[in-house]
Amino acid sequence: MTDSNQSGIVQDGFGSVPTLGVGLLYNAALPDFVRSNLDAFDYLAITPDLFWLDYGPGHPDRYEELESWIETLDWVAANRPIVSHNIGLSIGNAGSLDVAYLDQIARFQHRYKFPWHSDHLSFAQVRGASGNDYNAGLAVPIPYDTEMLDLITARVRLVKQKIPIPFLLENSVYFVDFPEQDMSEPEFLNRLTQNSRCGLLLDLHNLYTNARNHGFDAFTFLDQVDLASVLEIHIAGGDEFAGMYTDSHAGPCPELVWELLDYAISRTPNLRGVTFEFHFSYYPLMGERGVRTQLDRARAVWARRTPANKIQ
Amino acid sequence: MTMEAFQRAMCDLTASPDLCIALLKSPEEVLGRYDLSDRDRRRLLEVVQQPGMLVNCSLYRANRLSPIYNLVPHTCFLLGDALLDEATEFWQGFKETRLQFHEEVKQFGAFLRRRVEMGFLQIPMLAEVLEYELALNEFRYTPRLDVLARLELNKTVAGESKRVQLHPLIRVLLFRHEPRRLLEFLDERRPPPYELAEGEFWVLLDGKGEEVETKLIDPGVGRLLKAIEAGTSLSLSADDVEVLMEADLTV
Repeated sequence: MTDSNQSGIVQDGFGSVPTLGVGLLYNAALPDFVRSNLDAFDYLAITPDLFWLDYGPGHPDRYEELESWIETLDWVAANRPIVSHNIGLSIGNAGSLDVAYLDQIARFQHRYKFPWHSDHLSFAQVRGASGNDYNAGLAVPIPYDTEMLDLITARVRLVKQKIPIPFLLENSVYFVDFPEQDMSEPEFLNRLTQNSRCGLLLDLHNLYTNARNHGFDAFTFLDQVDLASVLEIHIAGGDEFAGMYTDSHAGPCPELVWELLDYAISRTPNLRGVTFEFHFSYYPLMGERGVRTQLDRARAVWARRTPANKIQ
Repeated sequence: MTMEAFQRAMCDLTASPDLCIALLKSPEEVLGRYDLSDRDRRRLLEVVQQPGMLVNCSLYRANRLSPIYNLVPHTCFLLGDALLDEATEFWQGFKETRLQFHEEVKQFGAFLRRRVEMGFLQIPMLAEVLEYELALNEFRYTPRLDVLARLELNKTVAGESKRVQLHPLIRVLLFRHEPRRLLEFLDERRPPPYELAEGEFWVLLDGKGEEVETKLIDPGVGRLLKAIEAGTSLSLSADDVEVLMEADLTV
């Protein structure tokens, strides 16, 4: 199944993907919220890695599910669609791709029928001097080079072979600017989606963070990216840390993120969902009402989509 | 090879502000440790001079500290200003962290235990609070229903009696300070008072239900259960064993 988009690029499999609406990224503070506020979200996005213990590559029983988390997930899955936002693929890692991890995502997809899944355009694992991969401590952005583009393109193809549903990659936050990159970020994203047929998870708060820290115009960035490849949008909040603005998911979205959502909503013809995410430690500050306010506001923007992108 | 080396160098720098400073002072020496292209070298030399590298280094530390703080909060509270130094010392020997932190927190707990035993950390009440939080964490990541189902299955297939063992969802802990008040103070993020009653207080953690139950038990029972947990050879009467089994404390 293929869809044509504004730029003539053909994306695989978007046509059969349901349009979901406004979603919420699940976190440790939300078990009670999701049960008592089912009307507040159209789908639940999950980070599957939080639902299991991972004893690491080579362990005979590598993955062990966390019972209480799974119990809540099963309950929500009976009532709302689930989409998966993975954190463990580390697709930009110059070492090897963790195929067993991919198999585990495939098992979860089979069980919860995610209409799409996503990960981050960065690397979080790095090959140590011992030859083992270890956690980098944060999602490290990749340089936008041809060599990296080729590596990720090949890996996206493998992901799509293993899990035959749309796979999206999320634009990253970066605090340092690598000099002498082969291409700009929009060019890299466009070539990646074109070459690999992956979709784009457009994180508007990441874009806002980069624009604010590095002094460029976020709206111009949106004009440069092929928005037909966007299936999902993330919105979130952040705060200042160590002298820069960060994507800490600290509570409500800044006003400019809402403006970016307003701008993007009618320019993303294949958009299927807008997900609000926040860090669980901010729940006591936001409360149930604060989370609902963000979701309601996202829903109001969602309702302003143009007829063109409502026809799915 | 160079992409792998670049990523490793970038991660080493992110994990160590000292290495960033060393790179600025002696670029050839630091960059010479990695198999880098000329462009990689120029990139690394440039990024360590950008303000964003400080953010990367700070985020790295925050990302490694926050799971520790979330999983052993009372221990961190008691450590106070010593927390960052202890964590930094721990990270020196535990560089290859994993995305999931439960193992790292366990290792950090074992590191602190050794530091207490060796006398490097002399903070009142730290040892007992640490053991309490580590035990709670163990329950948090134990597949409770699975364990109970396996025990039930073993009951039906077990023929002859075996040596008495502590129930896998029971822990016994020795506190040297009155635990209820101690934990109340810590729950409220208040430093516990020095005049807290001292003595031999045995706490039983029962993780068989959905919520972990904490109760004070008789010191004699506490010592007995601890001995069973340690696998000490005991001469228990059949009546004693029956009482322990009926209380669902042993298997």
